[in-house]
Amino acid sequence: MTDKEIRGRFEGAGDFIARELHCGAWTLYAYAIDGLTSGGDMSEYILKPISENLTGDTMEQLYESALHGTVYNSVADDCADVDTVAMKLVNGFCVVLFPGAGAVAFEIKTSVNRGPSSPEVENTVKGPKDAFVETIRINTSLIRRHLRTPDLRLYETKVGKRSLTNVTVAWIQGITNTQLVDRMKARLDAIDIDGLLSPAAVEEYITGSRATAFPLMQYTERADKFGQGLLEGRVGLLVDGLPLAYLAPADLGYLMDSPEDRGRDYVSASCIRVLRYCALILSLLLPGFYIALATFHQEMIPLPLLRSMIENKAGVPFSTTVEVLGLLVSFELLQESGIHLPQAVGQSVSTIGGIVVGTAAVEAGLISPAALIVVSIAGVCGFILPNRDLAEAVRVWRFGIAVLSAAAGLFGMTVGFLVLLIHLAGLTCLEVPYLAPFSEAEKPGILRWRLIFQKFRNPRLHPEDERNQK
Amino acid sequence: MKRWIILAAAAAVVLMSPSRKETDVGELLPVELLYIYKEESGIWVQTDTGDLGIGADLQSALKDLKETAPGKIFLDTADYLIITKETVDLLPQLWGILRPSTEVCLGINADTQAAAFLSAHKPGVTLNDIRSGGRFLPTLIRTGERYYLVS
Repeated sequence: MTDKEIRGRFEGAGDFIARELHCGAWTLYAYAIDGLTSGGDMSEYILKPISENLTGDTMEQLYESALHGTVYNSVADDCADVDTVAMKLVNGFCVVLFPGAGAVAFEIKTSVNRGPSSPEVENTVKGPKDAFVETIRINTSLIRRHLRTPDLRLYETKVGKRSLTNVTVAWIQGITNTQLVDRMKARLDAIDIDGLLSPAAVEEYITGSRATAFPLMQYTERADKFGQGLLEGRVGLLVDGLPLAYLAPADLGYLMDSPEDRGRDYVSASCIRVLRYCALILSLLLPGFYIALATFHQEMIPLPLLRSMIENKAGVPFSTTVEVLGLLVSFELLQESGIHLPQAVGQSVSTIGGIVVGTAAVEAGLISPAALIVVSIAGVCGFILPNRDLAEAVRVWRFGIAVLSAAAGLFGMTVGFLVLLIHLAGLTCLEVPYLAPFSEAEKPGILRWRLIFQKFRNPRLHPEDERNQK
Repeated sequence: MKRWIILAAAAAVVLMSPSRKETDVGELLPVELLYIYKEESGIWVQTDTGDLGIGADLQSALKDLKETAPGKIFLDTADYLIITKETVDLLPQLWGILRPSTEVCLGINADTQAAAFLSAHKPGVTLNDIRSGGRFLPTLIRTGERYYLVS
């Protein structure tokens, strides 16, 4: 390992720092990546001790002295080859090369990090306000603060040939089934891609890129929810650079849970959960149901309502199918525009689009109020779902079911719903079925039972310790 | 592969749907009250929507009603049927046309403006009751602008 080899590895990198040091009669080399390391710490805790304290008759003596304490740093690792040196450098270490003897890496990571702030998506009225950030070490410290158990295990590895992303698998020894952990590790090891930088990449590669819109892993930005998941016997996954963490396995029951459920009493939480499932059904089926009734099965509509619908429909130039499908597309466009605009502007666009344009369209006779109300209710019900990935999957299927309803009425809607059920029944995450909470053998998974009666962990996860209380 | 088979099967099932031909709700003329009586020219069928069908028999009168209405006459929503002594024999022909829960009464000097009155004072006898047999039809009598329902 020579200075030339290390410099060659980072040739053309503008942020690569290489410095020649003279220690008595010996010449050493220090390397770091600007921005990842702190210049002050490098001067104070590496360069200064080397120039003032490091002495020796041979290069080997200098190397041993630096590795074992003369250069005072909490982390000092020896580097066996150029690849290890490069790995240390890109992870915020300063590497000092002792030509002919070896290289030592000292940790001087920069402290420029975003601190934990309140969650942006998973807000709760009661409950902790600390959310994950982009730095994996801060995230593991947050988890440690919520789970003080020494049985918390954090297996760290790197994924991505080029991105070399730090990934951590988290579980609690003695609770989580080791098979689940092994499966997660095996899937991580099997990933062979350039970079693991986006949430979609994580989800697709870990879950095996199943052809489905439904999420097969549950993400959360809340450390307390993540800790709760680990206590249930699930496996966690943290990815450096992502301000969120994943929990697996995920089934429909987990995705419909909200952290707020544990923040309120079990009666209110159960009522809200029932309401949430109703919202799921309404969001999925209401537009299709309305199209089916208004186009094929008018005899099912009570006469006063039918008359009202017909009166409101008078003068509208489009059929009910075109109205509803057009409104669904408009709704998606508005939602998309709201996401891509700055928050303040996005809210204005949503308000203008939803209220002003919608009302104007009704008054202009372009759409009927009933169709607008139906699509609005379906949209609002979609926002009630606690998991955004699940809500987006429902949006996709809602559109498909509406098209089937337009083609064949309630028959088409039923066919669409059955296809969806078949699709969901075929999904698994780490071998746990997606619809497991609703299988016949299970206690109904919709209600939130009293905590004092929840004496056992989820049997579907086969935890090593089945009881969570006496 | 399995997924595509399921989707293809679903598409085929939907395309071979047994559903009726679609009619948008905006095209419908929902009927609440149907009045069937006999004149010299034949059977007259009148609706509360103001539409009229005339024919030698009930089928041709209904056909005429549908063909001359300014929209699609929708009889599935009919809540009340008024018939006369001369047309009471036509009731069996209406069993497949109107809902079994359609309430029936015998009209004397009646008209199609009686829907509001009948919704407040239910005749209480349905087509299904008559089909089952043994129920007497209540009589709706109009005198001037007033209606009376006699059981």
